[in-house]
Amino acid sequence: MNLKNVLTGIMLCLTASSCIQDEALNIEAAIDGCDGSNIQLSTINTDNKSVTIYVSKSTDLSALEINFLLPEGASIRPVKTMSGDNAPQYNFNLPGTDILARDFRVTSESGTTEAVYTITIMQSELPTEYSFEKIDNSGLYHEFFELDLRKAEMLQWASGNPGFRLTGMAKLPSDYPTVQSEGYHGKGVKLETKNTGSFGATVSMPIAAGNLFIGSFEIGNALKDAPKATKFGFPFYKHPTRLSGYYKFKSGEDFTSYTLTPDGKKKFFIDPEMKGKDKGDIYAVLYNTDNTDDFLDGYNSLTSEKIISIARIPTTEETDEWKLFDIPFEYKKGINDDDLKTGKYKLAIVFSSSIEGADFKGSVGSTLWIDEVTIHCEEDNK
Amino acid sequence: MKKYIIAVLAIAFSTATIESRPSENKGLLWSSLHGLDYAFKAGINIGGTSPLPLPEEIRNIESYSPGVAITLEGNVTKWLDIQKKWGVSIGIRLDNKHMTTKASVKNYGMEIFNDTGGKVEGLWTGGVKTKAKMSLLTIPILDNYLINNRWKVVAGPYFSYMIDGDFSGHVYNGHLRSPDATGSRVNFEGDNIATYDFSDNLRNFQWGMQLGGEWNAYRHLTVHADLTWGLNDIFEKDFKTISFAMYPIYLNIGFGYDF
Repeated sequence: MNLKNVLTGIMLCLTASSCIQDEALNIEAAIDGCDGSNIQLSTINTDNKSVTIYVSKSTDLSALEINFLLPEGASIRPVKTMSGDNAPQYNFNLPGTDILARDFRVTSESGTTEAVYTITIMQSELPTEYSFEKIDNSGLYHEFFELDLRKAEMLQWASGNPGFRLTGMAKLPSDYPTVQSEGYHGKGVKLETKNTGSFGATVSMPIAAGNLFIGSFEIGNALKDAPKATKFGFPFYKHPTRLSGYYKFKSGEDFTSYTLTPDGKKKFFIDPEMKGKDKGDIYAVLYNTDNTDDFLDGYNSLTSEKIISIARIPTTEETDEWKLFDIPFEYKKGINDDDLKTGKYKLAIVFSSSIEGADFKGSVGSTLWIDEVTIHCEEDNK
Repeated sequence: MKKYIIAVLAIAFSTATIESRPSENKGLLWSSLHGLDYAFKAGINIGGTSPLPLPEEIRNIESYSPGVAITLEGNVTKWLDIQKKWGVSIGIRLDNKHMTTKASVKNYGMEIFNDTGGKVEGLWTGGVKTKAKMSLLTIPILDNYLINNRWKVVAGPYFSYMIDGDFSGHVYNGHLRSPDATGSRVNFEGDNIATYDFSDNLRNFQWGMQLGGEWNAYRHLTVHADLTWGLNDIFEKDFKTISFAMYPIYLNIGFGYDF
């Protein structure tokens, strides 16, 4: 009887002190995504708080629609409001400035966290010559740019580096799978398949191939569905004929592969038959799109029904010397010139240090060096 | 669980039967004359290691399982008065404090480590499974008060040395905002989990208060319930990843034998 009272008392104490508190307001403040009817591609860098949005030349910049994907409860507005701003439309018609950039402030639901992002609008076309000379190395890893202001061409290459960051394996920018290195002329890009450590193993992604591609890498999906996180392509207005450039390749040793268990889980193992036999990949794909947010991804970049033409290296030979590749585009379908003019076609260029890297198969240490890549087009008489 | 309770019962009763033989031990008699009593106790710890009060980061406790945590204790009581009403006891207890919980959290500080020592830090919103297991050597120093022939209450501090500790788990179904509240969002769904392990950040020395009662059920056989309430954070001072202190709060229930 007495004991029961004591016990009841103790339990009452415990329950009273462990009640769930009222839910606090969300403290997250970031831009997780942006889209809009005229946005062809957007890249978000949460480290230096910048967003680059690519739009077509015909876009009306005085009322550019940008729909921001924000954390729950967060809000965004321009730091300085301008006439013509009417969310989600913002005025980016900034006469007299070379760079179309405005600052936006994101405020968390709680009001306690703020971040100011610089949003830059790019109205350029896709360049067709890539030299890999320019990188932004202010962050944790290298980010490649191609910039030709004379021709009003600008491109930021995408890579899986932001995903590799989550493994905690890299201490220096040079530890990432995609880095700048000595090239055929000046600088080039070096892609290396890396081990992702214990974190990679827990999420069934034991390796990370070095990759570089035209498009965007969506970090939010990197663990949930990695092949979907790589979105390939950018609007293209020409008739491509050949893909050329220089490469070097070296295969790593132990080849990581997997079998599927009966419950559909991946069981990784080292395949002795593939020891030292990994391959890299180099290809360009022209495809048809229905709308601007239509992209090929890691699942269908070589198999989609929308593909018009592919130029892909037959095999990457092991070589210590720079080797020329010059591959014709093979057309599966004809190009509709009206659609080409109105921006219905997109071009993707993809490099990877392990050909099956998107499926997490490959050899750690496989390395592909690339430099001086050109997309030859009928329009350029090449 | 049930199996263990039966085992504890069996031990308690067998010792009770041994005692019922009328063999007087001279040592015990001497001890008794000098106001010293000896006891052996066996029990189980049920409770949790929890922040108090629950911080706003913890939104919901989805499941809780105490695990089987056996305790064994030997103690000696020195009675301070002739009536043997007031006494002081000191003991040594092999303590196990276990629990496994699943909780949903919001903006919960988290570090995910890999085997090379690299880490990713950030704020986690979603599910967290936590396994906390500690094996401790505990010395309780308690005031004893005998209410009547059958009832005794005890209260006092205890000091523990952690022999072995595990505080680990994984996060699932949610998103990580890394490295801080303005960083990138990474979604985890389905089979995607990320493990964490804070075992190395556990403090070796713990202390707290113990309060309990003991009921003399039959001759030398006793039944007890003791609440042990930790008063220092189980984590080391410079461990900042979990932004709130966590305390072990356990109820020990079991049987004892008074020599």
